[in-house]
Amino acid sequence: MVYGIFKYTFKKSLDLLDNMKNFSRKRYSFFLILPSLLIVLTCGVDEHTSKDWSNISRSNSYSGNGPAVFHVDTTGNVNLTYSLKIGNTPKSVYFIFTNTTMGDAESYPTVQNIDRKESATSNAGSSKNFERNEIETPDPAHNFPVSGTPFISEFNEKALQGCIVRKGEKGPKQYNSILGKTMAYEVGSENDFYLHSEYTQETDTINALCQAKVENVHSKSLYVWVDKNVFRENYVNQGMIDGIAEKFLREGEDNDVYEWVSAIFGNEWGPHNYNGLIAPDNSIHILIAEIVDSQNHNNSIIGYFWNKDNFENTVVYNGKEHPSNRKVMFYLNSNFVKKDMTTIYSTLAHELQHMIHFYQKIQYSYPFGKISETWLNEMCSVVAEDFVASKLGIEGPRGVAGTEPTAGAQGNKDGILPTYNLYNYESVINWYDTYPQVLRNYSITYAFGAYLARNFGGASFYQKLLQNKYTDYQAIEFALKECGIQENFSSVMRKWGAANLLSHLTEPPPGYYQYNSGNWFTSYIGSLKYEIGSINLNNYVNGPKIYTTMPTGKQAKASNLYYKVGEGLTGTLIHKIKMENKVQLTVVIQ
Amino acid sequence: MKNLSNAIFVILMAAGSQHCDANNYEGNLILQGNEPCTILVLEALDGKTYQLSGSLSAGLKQHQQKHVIIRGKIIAPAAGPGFPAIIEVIKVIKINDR
Repeated sequence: MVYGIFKYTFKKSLDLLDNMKNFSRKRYSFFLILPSLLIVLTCGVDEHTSKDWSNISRSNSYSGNGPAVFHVDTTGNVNLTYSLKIGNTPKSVYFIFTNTTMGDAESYPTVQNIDRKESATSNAGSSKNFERNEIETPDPAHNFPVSGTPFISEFNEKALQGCIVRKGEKGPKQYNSILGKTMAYEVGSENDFYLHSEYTQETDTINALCQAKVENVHSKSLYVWVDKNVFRENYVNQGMIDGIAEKFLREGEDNDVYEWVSAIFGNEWGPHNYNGLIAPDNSIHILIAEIVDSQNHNNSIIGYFWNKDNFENTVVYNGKEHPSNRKVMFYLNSNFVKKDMTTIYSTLAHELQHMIHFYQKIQYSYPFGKISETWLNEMCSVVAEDFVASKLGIEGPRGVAGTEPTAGAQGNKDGILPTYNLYNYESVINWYDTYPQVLRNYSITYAFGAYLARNFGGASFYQKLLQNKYTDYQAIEFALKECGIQENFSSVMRKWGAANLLSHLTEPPPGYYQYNSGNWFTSYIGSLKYEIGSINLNNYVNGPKIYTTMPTGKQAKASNLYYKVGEGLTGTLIHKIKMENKVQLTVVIQ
Repeated sequence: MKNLSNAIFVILMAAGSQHCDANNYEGNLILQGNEPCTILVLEALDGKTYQLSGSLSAGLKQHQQKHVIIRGKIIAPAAGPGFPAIIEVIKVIKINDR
C-alpha cells in the first residue's frame, strides 16, 4: 500500500510536469517529488504509530480455592505486562476484553505469553480455536420467533422518513378519541383498521370484529379485534381470542399480563401535553390479523406496537400514507395465534412493554418527546417476557420451563441464549434489523438484560430504568444509582463478562457476577412477586464462544471478547498485552 | 451566445439553489424506536434529533453510534414524539468513532 501511494503521487507529479509548458522539468521536479516522499514517510502501515502508547505493568496474586475475578484497570493505550500468580493448584484462566466505550476500537488486543513457569497444558487441544472470520449464522432449527418484525433494511431505512402529519384528516370510521370519554365497544361490533403490508408496501383497510372485551379492570378496558378474514373455527377461533383476553386483563389480583408488566414499567398511556397525540381513554386494543413480511411470509412476525397509532392524524412518509388507528393498540399475527399460543402470551408482555416504553419516555423527556435507542427498548421487552414467564408457566426467552427455578438441563436448544452464545462478542448497543442479524441483536440484548435483572434488583431495577428521561445507556446508570449501586455502564459490562464465564456456578464470587443461583431470583413491586429463573450459559447447545487465539479486526463498541489463556495452569503467568484505551481487561480464574 | 450564457447561468442557479437551504448537522447517529418502527436519527449537539432520509442515509445505518457531520436540508418538520424533523442528506462530511 505504501509503495502504491508513492508510485501514484510520483506519477501524478510527472503528469503535471508533462502538461506544463515553458517550465524546466529539472528545476521543478524536486518540488513535486518532495510531497510524494512526504506522503510516503507519513503514511505508516501501523495505525498505532500516531498514538501514544505507554508501557505499564500490573500484577495479581490468586489465593484460595474458589473462582476469582480481577479487574485490571488501565488508562490510555497500553503495552501491558501482566503477571498473575496462581499457585500450585491447577487452574483455568481467562481474559475478558471489554470495550467499555461507545466507539469501536481500531483493533482487538494482542496477547503474547512471555513466561509461564511450571505451566501444564495451555491452549493445546483444550477448546476450539475460534477465529473471527468463522462467524456462524444461526442454525435455522434454533431460530426463535421475535416480536416486532425483522423487516428488511430497505423498509426500515424508508420507514418513517418523510413524515408529514396531515392535519384535519378523519380517521377510519367510528373515530373514538373523544377527549375525556371512553368509547365502549360491544362484542360483535365492527371497526375498520389500517394495516400496513410490508410485502406490498401499502396500507390496507381491514374490517375487524370486536370478539372479546374486558372492561373496567385495573381501571382499564381491553378490546380484542380480529380481522374478519381470519376469524373462523379452523383459523383464529373464539377460544383463542378469549384466551388472549383472559391472559392480558382479568379481574382479580396478580393474574394478568397487564398488571404484571405495568406494575414494573408504568402506565401505557395517560394525560399528556403533546399536540397531535390521542387523548387517554383507558382502553387498550389488540388487533389480530395476518401480518406478512417483505417476502410475503406470514410466519416471521409475531406482533408489533407502532406508535403512529398514538397520533390523531395520518403520518405520511416516503411518499406513502400511514394513517393512524387512533388507538392505544398493538398487533398480533393471526398465524401465530393459530399455531403457537404460548408464544403469543409471551408476546403480550413484549408488546405491552413497547407501548409503555413509548409513553413513559416521552413523558419523562417532555417537551422533547425523546424515544429510546432500539437496543434499550428491545432489551426491556424481552426481559418483560422473562418476568412473566414463571407467572404464565411458559419458557420465555430463557428457554427453560416456566416452573423450573434452576438453569435446567444440558443440551438446551430452546430460547434465545444458544444464539447469544455464538455471538457473545458482538456489541450490546448496535442494532441491525436485517435477518439474521436481528436475531443476534435480540439474543445479545436479552443476555445483558437478564444479567441486569438478576444482579441489580429485578423488577424494581427495571422500573427505575424506564421511569426517567434517559433513552440510552444512561438509563441503566440512572437505575443503578437509584438502587444505591456504585457501578456504571462500563463496570457493569465488565462484570457481565465475568458472569458469562461463571454462570455454571451457583455461588460465584461476590460483586455482581451471577447468572445462576440454583433457584429463583425474586423481586417485588409492592405486593407483586416476580421470579426469574437461573441461567447457565453452558447448558445451551451452543456454549459460550471463547477464543484461544486472539482475533483480528475491530472490537465493537460495548462488547466483550472471551479469551482462554489455558487450563491446568500453575505458577506465575506473564503476558504482554497490547490494548487500546477503549478496552479494559478482566481476568477470571476458576 | 448571450442566450446560451443566460441559459447556463439559469441552470447553474437552479442547481445551486437546491442546496441554498442546506446546513451542516453534527451529532451522533442512533437507531431509535422498537421493531419494526426503528428510525435512524442524528442526535445533534444541541439535543435535537433529526430523521435522516435520502439515498445517502441508507449507508449510514452501519455507522450507528458514531459521530458524524452531514450536510442536508430539512424536508419535513417534526410531527411529534418519535417523529422528529426529517433531513435529506446531501453529503456525508465526516464519520468518526465516539
